[in-house]
Amino acid sequence: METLKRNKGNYIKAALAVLAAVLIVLFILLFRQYSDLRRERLLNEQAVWLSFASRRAPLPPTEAAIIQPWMTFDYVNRVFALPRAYLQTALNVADPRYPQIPLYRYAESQHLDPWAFTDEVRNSVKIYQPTIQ
Amino acid sequence: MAYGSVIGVLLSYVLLYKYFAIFGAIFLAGIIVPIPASELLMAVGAFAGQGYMNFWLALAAGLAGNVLGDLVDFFLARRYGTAVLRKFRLDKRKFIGALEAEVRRDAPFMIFSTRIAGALGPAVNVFSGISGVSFKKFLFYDATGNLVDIGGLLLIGYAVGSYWESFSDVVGIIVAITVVAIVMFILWRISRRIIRRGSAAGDEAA
Repeated sequence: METLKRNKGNYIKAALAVLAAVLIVLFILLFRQYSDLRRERLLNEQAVWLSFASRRAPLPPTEAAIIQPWMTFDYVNRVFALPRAYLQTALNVADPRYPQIPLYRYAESQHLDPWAFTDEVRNSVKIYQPTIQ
Repeated sequence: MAYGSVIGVLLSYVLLYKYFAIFGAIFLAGIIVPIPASELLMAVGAFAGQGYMNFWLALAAGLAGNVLGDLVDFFLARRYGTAVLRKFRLDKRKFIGALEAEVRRDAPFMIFSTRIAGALGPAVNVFSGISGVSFKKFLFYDATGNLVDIGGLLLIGYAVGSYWESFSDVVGIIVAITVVAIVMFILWRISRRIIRRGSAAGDEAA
């Protein structure tokens, strides 16, 4: 009985040692990710504050690279403060589901490559000039 | 991110159906379906930060979905858990018995902490149901743990906005660290109990 308990204790100690090693690896990975974010200038006080302070402001057209195929036209219109009909006109979208349709689903319905179509959306956003009232 | 990936498809549904999609996805993740819930919630936080969604409604939908998903596990395990263990002869396994005892002995810590370490959540839901943890106790610690987890992820997404994807790897590693730390803590407690039992047996023999 005593031997059984000692064995069980040893197994647990071995498992704890393995987990401690895993923990060290995870901390190294975390540090590397943190360094990457700092290198990309996404993680410094100023960047976080600017992101926090200007979050509700529309993104400038220069940020069009963040547009992804899973985004809907409605979402793209909102984050870049585009008029509802701008992308519809610029890309000749005749689908009645516009703007409540993801870009990739629209592209697939038109037999277009979703990434190529997303690039078209990005370009249309980049060249958007808001009308000055 | 590939548009056809699980997270890509989920996010397009979240943009289309908003709170219903959040509820549905987090409910499935709460049961056991492997859905990247942390990434999804960070993205939802970012959408809320951009004014595309309401933060509080997103929090309510996520919380309701997760708690309901956990309760499904809990009640299924309470109703059928023992019978299933018996059918597959798992009830005689010492490891299963030790886990069951651990959950029963320290239900508040086990339930609360595993909400934050998502991968362990469904297992603890099942063991809570099997080991007879009271419904009220389970609900309280499940809801508070989920509030911290979901609220925290939404807030991170809210703070980093459009850059949420760049931060999702960091959050993934932090969640993995939490999982490993919790498993280590549980193993340490079990080993301490074994040592204590051993020394008590030694005293009795003396």
